[in-house]
Amino acid sequence: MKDRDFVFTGISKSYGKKKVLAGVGARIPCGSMVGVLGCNGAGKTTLFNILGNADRDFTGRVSLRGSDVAYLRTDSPFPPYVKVEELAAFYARFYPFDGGRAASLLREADIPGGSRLASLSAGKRRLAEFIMNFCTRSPVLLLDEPLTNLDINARDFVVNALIDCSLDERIVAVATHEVAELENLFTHVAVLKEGRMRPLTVAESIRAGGRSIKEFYRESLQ
Amino acid sequence: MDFKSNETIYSQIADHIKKRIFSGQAAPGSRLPAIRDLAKTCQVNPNTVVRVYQELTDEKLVYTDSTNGKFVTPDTAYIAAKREEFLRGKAGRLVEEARETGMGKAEFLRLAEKLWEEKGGSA
Repeated sequence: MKDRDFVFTGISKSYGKKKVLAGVGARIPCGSMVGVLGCNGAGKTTLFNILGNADRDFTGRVSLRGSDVAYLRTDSPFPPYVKVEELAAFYARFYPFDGGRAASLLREADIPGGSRLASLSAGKRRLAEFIMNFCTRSPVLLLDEPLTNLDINARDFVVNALIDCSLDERIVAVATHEVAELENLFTHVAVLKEGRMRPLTVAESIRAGGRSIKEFYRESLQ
Repeated sequence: MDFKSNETIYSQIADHIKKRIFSGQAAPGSRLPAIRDLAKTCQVNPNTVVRVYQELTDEKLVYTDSTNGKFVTPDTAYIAAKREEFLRGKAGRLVEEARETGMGKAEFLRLAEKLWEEKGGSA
């Protein structure tokens, strides 16, 4: 994995007359775990779709593209008849992929390789897609609401996987409106509001100022 | 471990480990949890634990054996001195606050004794 930051500048996007992103930019330091916080409709998913190669219709610049960025979407891009092992083969074709690790995590999560996505519960399906993205060796991992639909065991699974990888050089960016369960994992947070992003702020420096991440988030929304 | 959400995580974990060292729960010379393990126990970013161990190393309460991990210093006299310093700091702030609230010495000691009993402490 190369030692480098993830930089994007001037990201703008409109749906018809409605401007969803109005010049969003940040330099995300190598090895950080960033919480991108925002309410529903703030543009989190729109931004992640752009950063994660799922949407090419935008203006602005992104430093890492293609297989350098793995992206767990909220809406699965995969057809329901695909088998988990086929999904792994797909990831192995398009990304630098740690197939051994994926196999062992799938076993740990009790997800059989031969099962079709449609036969899995919503939580298991999401976990399978998390494992695929997590097991790429892409320097950037984007996760859009990674804990949604997951039961407590699956949530612990995701959190512990993120803890395991956070001493690596990898950049993890998490879009969420649920602060509580992930706030102690974030090295930085950035608040997205009405298509603009507030400056990236170090999580511990927020707390050093006597505020919680949640208070910081609320204040940023005002 | 539950954290106060408006104080730095690293200082809360550092205090937690210091208390274990000062109380002897983490014995002099004993091994401390590996960074990832402690991060999982506390459910925090391992980089935070790196910072905790760095701070405790700077304070010379912890040393790193490059092959085996992190250990509590074996120097019991040093631990006792640091414990004294730690307690003077905490108790000193408490005394200041009591004074600012207009408490006298006798009232302060009475309250301290009462609370010690209420919180189930031994004599």
